[in-house]
Amino acid sequence: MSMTGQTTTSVRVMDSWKEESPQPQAFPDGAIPPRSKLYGLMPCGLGTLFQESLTSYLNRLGRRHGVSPRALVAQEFLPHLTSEYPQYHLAAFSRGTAVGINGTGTVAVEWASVLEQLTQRSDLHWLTLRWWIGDIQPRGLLRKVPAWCPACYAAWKEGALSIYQPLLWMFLSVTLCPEHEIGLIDRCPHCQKYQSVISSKKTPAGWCTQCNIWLGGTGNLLPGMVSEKQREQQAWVIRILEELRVENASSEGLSWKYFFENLATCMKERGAPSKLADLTGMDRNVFYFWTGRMHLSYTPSFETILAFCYACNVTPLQFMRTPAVLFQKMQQEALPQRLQSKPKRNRVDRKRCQDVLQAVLDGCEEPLGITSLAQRLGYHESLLLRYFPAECQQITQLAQEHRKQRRARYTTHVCEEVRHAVMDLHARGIFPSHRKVRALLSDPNYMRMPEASAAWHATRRELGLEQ
Amino acid sequence: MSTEEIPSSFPVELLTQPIGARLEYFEQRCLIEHPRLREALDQILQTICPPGEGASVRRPGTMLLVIGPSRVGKTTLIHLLEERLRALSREQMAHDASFIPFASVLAAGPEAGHFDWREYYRAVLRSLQDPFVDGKIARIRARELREAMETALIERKLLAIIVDEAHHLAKAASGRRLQDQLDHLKHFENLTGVSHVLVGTYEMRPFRRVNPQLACRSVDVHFPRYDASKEEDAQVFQSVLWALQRQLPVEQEPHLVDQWEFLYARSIGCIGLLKMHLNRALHLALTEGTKTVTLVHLRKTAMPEAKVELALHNALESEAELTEADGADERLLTLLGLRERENAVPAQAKRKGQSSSRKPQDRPGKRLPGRDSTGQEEDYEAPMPLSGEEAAAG
Repeated sequence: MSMTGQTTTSVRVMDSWKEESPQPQAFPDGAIPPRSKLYGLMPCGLGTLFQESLTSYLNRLGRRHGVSPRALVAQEFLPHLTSEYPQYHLAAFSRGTAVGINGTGTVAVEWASVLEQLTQRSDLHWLTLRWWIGDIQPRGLLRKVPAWCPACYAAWKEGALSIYQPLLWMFLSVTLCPEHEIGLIDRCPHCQKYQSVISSKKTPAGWCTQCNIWLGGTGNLLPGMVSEKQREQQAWVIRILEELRVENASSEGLSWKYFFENLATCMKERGAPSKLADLTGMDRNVFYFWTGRMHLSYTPSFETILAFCYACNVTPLQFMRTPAVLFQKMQQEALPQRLQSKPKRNRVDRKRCQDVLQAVLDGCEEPLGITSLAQRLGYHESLLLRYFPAECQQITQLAQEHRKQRRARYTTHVCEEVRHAVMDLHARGIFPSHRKVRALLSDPNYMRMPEASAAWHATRRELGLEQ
Repeated sequence: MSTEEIPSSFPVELLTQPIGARLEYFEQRCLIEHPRLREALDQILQTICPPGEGASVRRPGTMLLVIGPSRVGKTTLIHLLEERLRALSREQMAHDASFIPFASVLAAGPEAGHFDWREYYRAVLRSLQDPFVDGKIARIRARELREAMETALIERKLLAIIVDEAHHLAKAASGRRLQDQLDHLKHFENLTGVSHVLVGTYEMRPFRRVNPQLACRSVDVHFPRYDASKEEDAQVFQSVLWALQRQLPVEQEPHLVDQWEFLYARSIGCIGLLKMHLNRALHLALTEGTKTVTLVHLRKTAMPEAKVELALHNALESEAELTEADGADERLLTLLGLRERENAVPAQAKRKGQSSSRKPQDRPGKRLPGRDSTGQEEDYEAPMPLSGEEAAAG
């Protein structure tokens, strides 16, 4: 054997490489760290008041993968969950009960854990209330269906920002948007339906999950609900929530046991239960239930705790840290403040409704129908039907008549436009074919209407271009 | 020759293994890294990501056309490229669990005369471990698959898509259609910043000429065979042979280097063809129970002359197109007009010289003035039919 020069090649022995397989495995097991099964999207607004909710993140993840969020849950989540969700239960769960995924219970903890495992992110547990307000009782904490601020959606769309659902809007106590100070709404203005928590469609956030209409806008300022006092109270609620969020983020977790322990300490003061009852307007026995000094004890809902704190003019965090602050407030003689977190729907302002209905019957306002009127007045249409049946029936008839006339005017306008287009083309020496006439109309789809088509034929017959 | 230069040998314990295991060792586990392979690999990596920077810094999306003869080692090149990309990306992959550095797909042969893009999208999504590409909620429409692939390329922050057998893209695609195919790939590069590494045979040559814009924005990587007429290539080929003969799991080391010209002729310098030849010879030798691979085995398993000639003709023709001929700079400068301005005066003089040596075209039948030197002017003019001017002059 003779060789000149140096050896410039080398031989490597591979552990496993099957040349005959058409697509050699690009990532053999053990070669690289395991990849995330789903995309690790960055949660929106993390660490701020407007941080994203877990259900919103789930919906966004499904849409980013190009599949329906509900289908993503069925395929990727259900096998990892301890609870059983048969197919029909999943649909019902996704429409309403799934809001608990954002809460403080075991469901939220489990779903956050599975999601972190699938996306290989470690910060998704912050998207639940467990890591916002601590280990509070979940009762009365979350809304039953998602709500949103139309002005926020419109602003995000205009600024080309991500549209999502902040966890703040999931609180039952939050009824106004802190940015725009308008009421959060939970029904689509077009189809009047509630939104699904986990959508079954691929439509992006900000569009109705039922009818696909855009939910953004200037906002529906409901008169009678938003007063100056309510704005103040909502501002106070938002301050409390922000305070609790910051405290929870910086410590190992808020524990509400300190709140009730301090309350129990306050209750030992002579005359304290009565003073608290006067301040808050609650029954004095309730405080014994809260602190477990009666045979029956329970933990109050978050709403009730907020009402208690508002009346005592302390924040929950202040009370957790410094029980003495409550003693000081009890000593002060002040008018009791009541926190109204929900509007009092059982008191209908009959006079205002009567005035509006009469204005419609008199022809001063456009008769648009009972549903629109009810939304404008801020009540459900069943209330109007109950209290003003006769007026509602007349208004319905007026509205139907109005719609017919409006339709007739619309049809006449379209036919006129078609006729003018045909005449114009004929005057210019151009044959008024379907395509040419369509091009001249303000909306080419007018020609799809049978009346427009009939007008086109009639005008052509008039001009002798058709028999 | 020093001991360090001798290539490594196969593990001795292989000789006790059955034939199947020994064949599997040589056929599938021995990988030859030779200079041409390394050059092509380095060129590709320099284009995809800068050296020494890892995967955190990336170049804008580029189309790389890796062209070479059949069985030159392109699939081996892809395998090594994947390995190097994994190594470069290791740090970023540890840091970001969503990141996948590349997707490796095989371009399927065209059905019904057109390239099936949906299958291509599905192949890329499978390579990226998309959980929804198959199954109950699999996307069906081409638009949905394309959007899903675009999103996957962005979310996974891909560096490159490696397409093997990319010459299938050119099949059943004439002119305009081929341009559309490549523009479609270019769209993904612009949108997502991913590079395409199209690896295929010489059938991909039309890709280079399809579009001037694409010609400026793509990079050609020619991965040719070894040409033994060049001393350097001949030496490398012999060193490859030497390395391979040391890996043949037989009791007695064969003397393949002595037969290098015969093996070169039957493999036309393609290492893949050479390896396949040796695979077949080894199989024959082990089946017959001989202690080594002899020339007889090599001759019996050699590729027929007709096939070799066909492959060689194709390779020579393609190499002529892909290899830049001498004088390319001068030709380009001439086209750009620089050479003409420098040579303008001599060119004009040359043209004058040429015209003076030509017979005057505007004087047919006329004898040149200097031809008849003595008193021939009247006779010279008489036979010529008078032109109008001359008739008018009298």
